[in-house]
Amino acid sequence: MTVANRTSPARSMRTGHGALAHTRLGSTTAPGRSAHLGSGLSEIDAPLKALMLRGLAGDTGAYAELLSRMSVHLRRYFARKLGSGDADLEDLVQDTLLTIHLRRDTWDATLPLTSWAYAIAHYKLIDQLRRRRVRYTEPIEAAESLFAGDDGDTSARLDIDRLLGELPERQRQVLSDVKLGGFSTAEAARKSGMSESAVKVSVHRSLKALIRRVRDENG
Amino acid sequence: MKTDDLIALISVDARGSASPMSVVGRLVPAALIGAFAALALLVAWLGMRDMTAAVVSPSYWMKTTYTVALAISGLLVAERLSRPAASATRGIVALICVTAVMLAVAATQLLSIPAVHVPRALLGSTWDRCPWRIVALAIPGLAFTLLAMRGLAPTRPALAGAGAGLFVGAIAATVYGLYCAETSAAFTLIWYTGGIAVSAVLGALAGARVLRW
Repeated sequence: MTVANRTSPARSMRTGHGALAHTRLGSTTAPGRSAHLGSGLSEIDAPLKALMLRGLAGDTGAYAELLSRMSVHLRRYFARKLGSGDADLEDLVQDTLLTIHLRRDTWDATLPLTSWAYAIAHYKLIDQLRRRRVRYTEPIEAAESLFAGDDGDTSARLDIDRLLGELPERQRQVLSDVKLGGFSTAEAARKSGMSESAVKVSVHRSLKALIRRVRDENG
Repeated sequence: MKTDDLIALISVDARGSASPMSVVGRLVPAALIGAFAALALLVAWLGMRDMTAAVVSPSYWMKTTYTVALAISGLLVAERLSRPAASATRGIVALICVTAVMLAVAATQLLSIPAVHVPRALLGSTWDRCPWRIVALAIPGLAFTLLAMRGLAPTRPALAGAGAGLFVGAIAATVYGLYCAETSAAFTLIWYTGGIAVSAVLGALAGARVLRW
């Protein structure tokens, strides 16, 4: 299993797909049997790893770049698994990005970043499919539920905007300042009258609150 | 929210560590709290053996060395399994080596005593209680350690839970050694290891249920 997780990205990269896209080879079988590690693995992994290390050292620009590249790989991976029009696709990407961020201490810098991220994405995918199975086995209701204008499924969908709206006012303000128009934390701090580190703490708390809500919604 | 906005938000929260100790730093304190709970439980429930006699007895150190070595191997396994895509092979090899050495010690000891004493060496006088007491002592540590593990990222929950159970089971066995006056290596190999194994199974069962993140 571990070997499979590590080698799958390598296989897909040698066939020209993204780091997290091992689909064609592994979609029906367990993710890959042992494969020869191509030199391609380090080619994709090294720059991402460098960005991650700079991010961990506090370089927000490098970290944003890493997450943004990661999101492309994740979107492609989930689209291959679920179909590109899947309603949960972007939620899954966002959930995985948040998880990658909040669990970043579990990455061991001596190991490839791609296989670590892939294992998280795979876990999130399986988790999502398990939840769907639960959803599908709910009791069948009367016929009108099929034709009801606004069924439960859309409202059950993860809506981070709404979740943001439920955060305490101050946290929400800081989040939207930082998010909109590229306020730096220093600027957001001046605006809200908080210290810069307080802004960072606030963002951190909000992200944790977000992922808790994501879990409650889906769980 | 657009994913790009989320990324902008998250990046504000950059900074962290990729230190090899970051996971150990969470599992060990949890297990230590469990160890103190086990010690308190032991003192209240069974009491301790005469430790002045114990510290000069080779059999006490043989048992303690074995259970501490198992605990360290268990920690290696639990630590790796708390990280996505990390391999636990090294810890598992360590476990096998520790058990193999103990097996050799037990076999040597059994071969050196008269055959009539062998049943006594295998069963001691507490074989039917020893494993269950170790399991009972392991439960607080298991709860704390699984809780700590939830904050990490075990992608194989049952296996990670088993690793946690092994780790805390070996610690509980070390604590139990402060009471248990059995002296034979074969007894330790069978019944101590049995208690630790049951603790690992409990960890796997609990892990599959509670290690969701």
